[in-house]
Amino acid sequence: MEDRELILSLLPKAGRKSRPPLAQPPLPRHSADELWAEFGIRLAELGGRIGTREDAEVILARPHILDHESAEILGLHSGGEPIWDAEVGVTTADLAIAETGSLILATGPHRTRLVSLCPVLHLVLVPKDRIVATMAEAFTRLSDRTTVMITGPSRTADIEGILVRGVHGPGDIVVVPL
Amino acid sequence: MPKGKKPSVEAFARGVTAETTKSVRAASKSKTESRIPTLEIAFHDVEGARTQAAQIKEFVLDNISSLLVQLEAKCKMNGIQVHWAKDAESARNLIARLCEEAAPVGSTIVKAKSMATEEIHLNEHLIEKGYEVVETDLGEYVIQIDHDTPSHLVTPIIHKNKRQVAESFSREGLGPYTESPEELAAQARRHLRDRFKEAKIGISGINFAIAQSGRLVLVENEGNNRLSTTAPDTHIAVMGLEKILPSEGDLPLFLRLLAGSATGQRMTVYVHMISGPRRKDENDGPSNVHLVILDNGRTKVLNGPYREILRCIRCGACLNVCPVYRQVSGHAYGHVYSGPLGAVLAPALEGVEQLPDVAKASTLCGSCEEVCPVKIPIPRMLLQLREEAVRKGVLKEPIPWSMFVFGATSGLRWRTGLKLLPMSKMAQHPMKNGWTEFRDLPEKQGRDFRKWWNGRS
Amino acid sequence: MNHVPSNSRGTLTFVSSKAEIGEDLRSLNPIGGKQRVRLMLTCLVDSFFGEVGIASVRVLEHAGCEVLFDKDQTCCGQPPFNSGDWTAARQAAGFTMRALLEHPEPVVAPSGSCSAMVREGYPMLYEGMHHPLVFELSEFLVHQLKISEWKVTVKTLPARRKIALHRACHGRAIGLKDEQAMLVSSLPWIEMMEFGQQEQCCGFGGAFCATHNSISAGIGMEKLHNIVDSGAEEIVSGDMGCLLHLNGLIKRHKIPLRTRHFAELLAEGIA
Repeated sequence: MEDRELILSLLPKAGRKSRPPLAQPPLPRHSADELWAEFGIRLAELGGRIGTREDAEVILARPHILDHESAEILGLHSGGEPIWDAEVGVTTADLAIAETGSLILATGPHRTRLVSLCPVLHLVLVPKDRIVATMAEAFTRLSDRTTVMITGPSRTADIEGILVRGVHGPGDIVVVPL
Repeated sequence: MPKGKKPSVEAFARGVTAETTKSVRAASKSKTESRIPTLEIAFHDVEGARTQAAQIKEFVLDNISSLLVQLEAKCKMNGIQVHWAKDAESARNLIARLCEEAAPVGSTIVKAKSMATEEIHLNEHLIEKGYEVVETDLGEYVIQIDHDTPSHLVTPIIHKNKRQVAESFSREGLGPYTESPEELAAQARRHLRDRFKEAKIGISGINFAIAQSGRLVLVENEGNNRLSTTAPDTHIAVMGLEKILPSEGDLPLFLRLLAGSATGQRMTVYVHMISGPRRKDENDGPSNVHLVILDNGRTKVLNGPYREILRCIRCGACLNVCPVYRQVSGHAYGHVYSGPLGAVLAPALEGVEQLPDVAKASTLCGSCEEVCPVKIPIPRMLLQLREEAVRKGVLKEPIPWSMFVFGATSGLRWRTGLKLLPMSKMAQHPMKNGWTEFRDLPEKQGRDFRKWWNGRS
Repeated sequence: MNHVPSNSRGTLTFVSSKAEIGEDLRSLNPIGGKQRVRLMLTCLVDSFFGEVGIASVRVLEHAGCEVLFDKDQTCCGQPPFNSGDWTAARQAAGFTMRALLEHPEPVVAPSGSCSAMVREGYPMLYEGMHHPLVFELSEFLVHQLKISEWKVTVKTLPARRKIALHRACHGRAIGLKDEQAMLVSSLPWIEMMEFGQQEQCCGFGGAFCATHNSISAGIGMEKLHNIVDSGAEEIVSGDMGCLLHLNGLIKRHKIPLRTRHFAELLAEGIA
């Protein structure tokens, strides 16, 4: 017998109960500015920071790679350094989540996943209206493409529990609400 | 336990250095301490969140057959190729074949940390086939170059200190000797970058598979997991068949419970939700994504008394809080799954005949159940495993309990025994040497209760 | 499967679950009269620590109870139960049910561990059995008798001293929280010290302490180091198993600590 059929034959055939409902805590109503303030606090706790358009321009003086949406926002040409050599990767985000300081980045037409991952600094441009209060809210709006949620800089505590940032992914993350 | 031989975990514990215990205790303690404050921020009602997670996992186990079929169908729609493996050997052969189809022997395979692949001893098999297999999680990389095995689900080198890591890195020529964790991490980053660039295949585990959408969810902090599943042209994911969640709406609950319970984080840095191979209009990502659904004893567990252990989401909180784990580290359990989780899961998967005494390596203090995000009744199952082992005669009890019970089933015999107790110091008792090796024998303290009671009435 | 022995059915008092125990007793509580309770002495108190039994009786009487003691009681059966010999455990449990539980009065034990064995362990031994009405002493005082502060009647207070309260782990199984801490901290001569890894087990674990003795001793020494560092002179707990093991280490290593059951502390306050 094929492994699939064997496994399926061995699995218990219990009657299907209805699935337990998920608790839905009431969503507090906040303005986008309030949510961005909360987001900034959470991000800072993780070692990231909120920046301005001017900060972005300073950062772009370093060898960088821009994806085409962030290039459009900044009025620049997309591209730049080869992905494995760039110090700075610039992308947009689809959503920012206030409660955890997280960013949602889906793949999409002409998007490059590695831009948010290979460089040592990830510069993220987020239109101001793309913020939600909770992760639960964000997860009702996910793209059906491969998606990553990023919460702060890459980190490890494998060696004696000591926190180190930037072990494989970017050790710095700067989010610019626009 | 053969006569005269110490139980396996105790025998191992005697060789564990004070340095190891110190490392394990310090890291376990700090993770345990950050757990509750983090969960209390994430949930108004932590207890309620744990109950809900347990119920959802129970629903999954109740409906595992139809959820797996649903997952398979959705994955296929997403372009993920689904394979099934009944046991470790079948899984190893299958994955080796997938590798051979993807890249010639000799190619580099990057691995993201995965307990399922540890369980089936995949690396050894692929290396034997001629592939260069590189573990890319910092801790797992250290394990690999030291020819060691992970001693914790989440922090594999919890038993090592920075001096030991420094020595390994300088021996392997990763850079100048340094004990700075930052420098060591930077050396690993530089060294492993080249491996990621040249790798043709990435192999990972998964944390959750979503039945409703056919999406594979991987969580990690370092970024090596994302790199391993993004840079190479082929991604092979291996999952234990119980790792299903019904829908994406369940993720916020489980992701927050996992991050808080595992490392005291509000959220893990990267939550990678894979919906299939790269699409035509996307610039990167693997062209082939495979999912291997692994049984390897799980269907047996699902049909037996230890079924609830399959609710586990591998957070490691029970290891961190366990007094025995803190003392002996993960290797003492003699299995890839260690700590309270391992003391149940390992014999449940492999049979109590194979691992008759690990369930005994517990004080039954109950702290594991208290911290478990999916409320697995671990102490209850440890007791059941002990019972099964004794009933099947695979665990020889050092104490003849029938003698004890003879005394405990008659008031007269019991009282006579109490009178003889002071003489027991001279007598041979099967527990005596175990007691006196590290402690002084107890003595009767103060007045005798029964004399006092009889005297007052 | 094993069912509840027929000779213990019927008169045995059952409660339906941990959470509802507080509710059930109120109906048993005789209005105006004294609350009658049966003392479950426990085998360790019976064999080594008579003073703990004496203190428990004095404490319960001080709290307004009439205490009954069944002299035929032995051991609840936890040692063979934890070791996996459930045939032996059922024999001891069956005897205990007949000796102690076939009465309308609630049973009180100066031990979270033995209470947990009867309440949570017996239903594992006997399919379909509900949780027998056995209470740990502090649980009974706080939740059933609603005592949150200990009434001190002794004229001259004992000398002030610093203690470390070790929350014995088996209290977890019956849902004990800070009951013992609440009672002990209401004693004016007691200063309760905080110490490191306060929630961690002492390493006793029944037969574990002899079969896995280096591990047990290592965990115990860690506990003792943490307590010594706190400046406490005395370890107080609600389970004599923990204290038996810790005391063996204390004596071997000549550590300047005493061990006491919390009932003994409460009894110090009774004239």
